Amino acid sequence: MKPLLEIKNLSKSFRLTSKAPGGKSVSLKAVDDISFSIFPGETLGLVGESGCGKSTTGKLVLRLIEADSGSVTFDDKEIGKLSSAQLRAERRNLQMIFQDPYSSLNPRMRVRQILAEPLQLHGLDKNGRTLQEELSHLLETVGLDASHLDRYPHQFSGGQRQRIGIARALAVKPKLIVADEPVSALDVSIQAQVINLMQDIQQQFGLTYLFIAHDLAVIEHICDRVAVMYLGRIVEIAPAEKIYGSTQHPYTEALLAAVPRPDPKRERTHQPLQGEVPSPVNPPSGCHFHPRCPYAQNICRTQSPELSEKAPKHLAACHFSHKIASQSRTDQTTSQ
Amino acid sequence: MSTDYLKNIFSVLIRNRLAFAGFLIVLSMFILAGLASILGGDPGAIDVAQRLQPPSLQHLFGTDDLGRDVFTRMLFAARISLLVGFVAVGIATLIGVFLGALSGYYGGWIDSIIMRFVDIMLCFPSFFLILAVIAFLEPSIWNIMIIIGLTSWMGVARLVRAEFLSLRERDFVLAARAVGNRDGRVIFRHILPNAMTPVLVSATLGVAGAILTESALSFLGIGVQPPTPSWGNMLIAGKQTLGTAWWLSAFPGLAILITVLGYNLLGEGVRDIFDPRMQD
Repeated sequence: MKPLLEIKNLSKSFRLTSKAPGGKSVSLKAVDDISFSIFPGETLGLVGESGCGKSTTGKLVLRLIEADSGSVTFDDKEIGKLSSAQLRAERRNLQMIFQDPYSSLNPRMRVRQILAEPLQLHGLDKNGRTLQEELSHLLETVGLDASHLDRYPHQFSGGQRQRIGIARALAVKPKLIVADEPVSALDVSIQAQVINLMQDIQQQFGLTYLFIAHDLAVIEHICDRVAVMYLGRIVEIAPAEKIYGSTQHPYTEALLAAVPRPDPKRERTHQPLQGEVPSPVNPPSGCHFHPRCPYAQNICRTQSPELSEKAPKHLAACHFSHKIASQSRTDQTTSQ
Repeated sequence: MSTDYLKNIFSVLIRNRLAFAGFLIVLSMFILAGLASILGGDPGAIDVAQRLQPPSLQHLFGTDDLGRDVFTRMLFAARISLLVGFVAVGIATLIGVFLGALSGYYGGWIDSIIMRFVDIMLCFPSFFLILAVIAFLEPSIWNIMIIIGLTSWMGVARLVRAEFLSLRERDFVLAARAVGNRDGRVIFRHILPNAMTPVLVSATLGVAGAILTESALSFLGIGVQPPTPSWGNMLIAGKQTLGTAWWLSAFPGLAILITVLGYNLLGEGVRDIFDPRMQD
């Protein structure tokens, strides 16, 4: 099967310029040579700590910011090479759901305007059904009521606002939706509802998701495959059950250990990660993860490991992935 | 209930009262200007037999050295002042919003060029710039409005730029682009409505400034030209007879004072009303 979205060697740096006179400018590598693809109907989870470049990756996919190098190919079209008019037309197929439902809706626009705009921009408001019917239907799809159309965003709760954001992305019937931490700003009780809604509409409309999140617990239920990012690089990418079952990377292992499990009998076997995420302005040599890695050897300080296939469909970037894989397997057997 | 709480309510009331007073002044100026032809007669009607009459029931504010009714002339002058104020501020706001929006939204070299242009415009003492330009052009009321407008947009541009700098980082701007909006629509339909509060405040205060500038220009004889009445040229016309006929200068002067005060109070009030920190 051909991938719907294919990303090759994508990189993006930001220049940070000191405001002081004569201040030097340094470059921050937010996304460092990453490649992955997403197949139609699939949900790829993109996980990592804050500042690891996952949101930047999402914006690069939609070309909301320009990449430095590399390519994003969507549906056989290279997004980076489209003219601005072609890109605007292509946005019909590529939509985004934002993290903060409080800042992602224009406070001066009514729900009706927010939802009608994408339809009008792409000329989808004249397909037999009246705009009113279309909008009411949209709101019902995301679990809101048609009577909400003439309200302003501030009259809704966080969860309801996120539903409006989902409806806006859904309005143009896109093929791919980039969901940038869509539930991390919501209450835990609301998170599950929104995730369920996203799964429902995925089945209903045959959507493909790039689902960005900062913890593995949220992603577990919705993702077919998971990519783990650390300091701008993808360190592991594999089908979800393999990530959760037999991870090949020490960082993923640490993330999994940090997921809270509501089991009072479970003893804490893992040490939490030591130290902070290093500054992306001046990342560590070799493997970026080595200063915090319990398995680090000399080779990790000098040589950056390639992302390579360690098991079928399971890619990881670690010199000692075999050690981790064997250890997590023994962990599992002892806990059973 | 604590006394602090009561004090707070009291201070808010005082603020709102002043704003309300400003609103009433502005409103009554509009009504007076609108009803000028009904309340007064012909502003140019000369009656030499009635020259330099002190205020009386027939001539509320007296008559000038040609026997024209000062009250009537002031009503018509109010029209001029409001017209100048609003047209000049309209021009300044349009230019300021447009350049400020471009500057704040695009940033980079566009921002640098526009902001350096703002700095250059601010370097000229604007009153002397106006004087210099009027010296070349015919001092008509339309020229005055346009020139006041062209020399007072810089503050608005900076305000709008500052608002845009913070608003463009908000997700709804990104969302507007992701949905497929052109830059023009993102700027003017999505961001600008969220940046209008400070513009409104500055425009209200700007009307007061424009009225003052027009009065000053007319006072110097290069503003609104006689026989068209304006508060500024009535003020200077009364100068020769100030010792004997104080009403010729006193009433137009008071009118300028009260009107400018009204707009300033209203502007401050609008700012307080929209400032969330004032609402606790």
